[in-house]
Amino acid sequence: MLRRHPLLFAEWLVACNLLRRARAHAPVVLGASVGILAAVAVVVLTFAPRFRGVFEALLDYRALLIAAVGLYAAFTVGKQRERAEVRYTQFWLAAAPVRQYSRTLAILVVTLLPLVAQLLGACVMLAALGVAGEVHATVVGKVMLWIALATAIGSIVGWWSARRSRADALEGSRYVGAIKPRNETLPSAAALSGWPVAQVRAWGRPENLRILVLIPALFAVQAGSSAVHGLSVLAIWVLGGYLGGLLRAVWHTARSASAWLRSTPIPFAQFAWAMTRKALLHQLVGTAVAAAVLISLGAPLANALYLGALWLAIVLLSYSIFVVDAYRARPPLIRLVLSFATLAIVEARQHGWSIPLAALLAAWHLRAGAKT
Amino acid sequence: MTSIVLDVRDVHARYGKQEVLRGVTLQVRTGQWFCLLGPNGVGKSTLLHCVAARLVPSAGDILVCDHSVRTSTVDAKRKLGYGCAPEQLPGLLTGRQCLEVYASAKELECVDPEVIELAEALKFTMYLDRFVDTYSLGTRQKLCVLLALLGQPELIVLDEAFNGLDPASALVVKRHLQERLAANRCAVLLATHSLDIVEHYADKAALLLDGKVVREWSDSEIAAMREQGAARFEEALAGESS
Repeated sequence: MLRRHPLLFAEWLVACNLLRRARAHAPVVLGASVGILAAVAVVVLTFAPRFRGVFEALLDYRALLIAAVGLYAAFTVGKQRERAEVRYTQFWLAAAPVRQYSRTLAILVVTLLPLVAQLLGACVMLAALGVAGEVHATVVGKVMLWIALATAIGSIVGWWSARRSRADALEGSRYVGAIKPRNETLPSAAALSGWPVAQVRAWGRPENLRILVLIPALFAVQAGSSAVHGLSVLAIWVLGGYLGGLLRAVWHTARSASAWLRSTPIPFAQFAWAMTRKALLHQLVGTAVAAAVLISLGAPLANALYLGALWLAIVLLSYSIFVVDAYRARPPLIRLVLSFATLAIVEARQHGWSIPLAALLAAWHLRAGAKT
Repeated sequence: MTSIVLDVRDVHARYGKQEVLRGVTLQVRTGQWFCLLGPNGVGKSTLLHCVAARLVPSAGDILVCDHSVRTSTVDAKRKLGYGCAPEQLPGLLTGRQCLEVYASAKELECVDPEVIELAEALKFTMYLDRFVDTYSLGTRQKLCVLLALLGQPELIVLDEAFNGLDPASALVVKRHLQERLAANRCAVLLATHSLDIVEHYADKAALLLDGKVVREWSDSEIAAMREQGAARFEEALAGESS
């Protein structure tokens, strides 16, 4: 059946070959998987007594749960569809006589598959949390049902809101402000610090962000919510998206920069500082604004400050791991999982201690990088 | 007597279980244009990656101006100008920013005026303040060459650097490299399939087959083949490869 759909067949063969290649590294893959599972199990068991409360809160705030999951699904599907459309326009089979319905089917599968996999993963995780926390099966089932429903609705909205491919869609710099022409060229690594910010702007396409209007719309229909509240939530959402994107962008750009600059004698300290300087500044300002908005929404000052400090600690730790591993051309996953599992366990035992620990871990990672 | 800029000593390199280089030994001297030839997939780019310290050899050593790329990596890289692949250039930086970052990475006080002059000769200046992801293949290739020439490197390593360049720009680059070589300021190591470059510009050439150097041609041998007429080198290469 797959042979009648050349695009899907090609994707299937790629997936099979990737699996085959992974099989050659079976001991490493197995070891990493067992390590990650063990770390997750430790975190789950540490927090188990709190899960009942989490499930009840999820059901109490199900409108918010549905909105968040639905928006995530809409964003993911919209972005994936656009990427798939652009990809198949440039695909090596682009000139082959592939029927339109076969192309659409391939785009549909490629677009929805990652989200379906994430949904299944989330359901397995929820089931595990439910068992660990001794939560009633009906409660867990209800949460799963709401999430599945929100995913389905979000996917439909994301699919229809995604823009079709355009000729200029390949240029990542389309949404990055033009650079002012200059006459002089001076040695400086300053451009590296602007790269993660430019990357987030290149990712944050307005056609994907149009869906943001759904949030104020959702809040407008809830009794008692003012327009200011709706806008504040929108601001938090936009800021959260930007800061989260910036977190991811540093890894993405540091890896590319490292591959590009590997034949130069660039020292680690210069590389790390140049890659993270502006991103750190944006994170600091963004977190301060987000904390201010949270306080204006009625959150206690201590809680807002704690959340801000926790986020900055996570950013600092992640960035330190990203720049070290990008510089050394190594994958950061295991280091990330182990570091954050440690943070979670410490935080569960002693509230607030994860923040200084994250700073210590970051310094430790950077020291290791400096020795490279 | 010219000094040895690049000394490749019995280098082995592998990607996972696959051994790509199986004991490569060669030397390149100052003022020499060395062409590395061979069919696709024999390890030309892998050897260049090892020379540029992008890949660590599994055995053997590479000395760039007497600095080992294994033990004195940073010192070796200071002497090296490597033209990366066009697709590796950062799309969200402008050409000028790429030059600035590269110059900073090479700890230069200023960007060589010679490189800026070459950019003008290549008609690249109009692209300097545009994002790299808007460049054509040829324009990216020009930027790769300019980056490789920054900081007066004593060894210039280029991988198929003339692919995508228009004939006029290719000629400008070739003449620029010849000027540097004539002044004994550097050596050039070029991996190429272009026999025209070998016949007209190379001082030395080597054929790589199955991860080993199987044949080397000296300056006089290349000159003799040039005099014997068109396609002589092509025939010799085909004979060695088969």
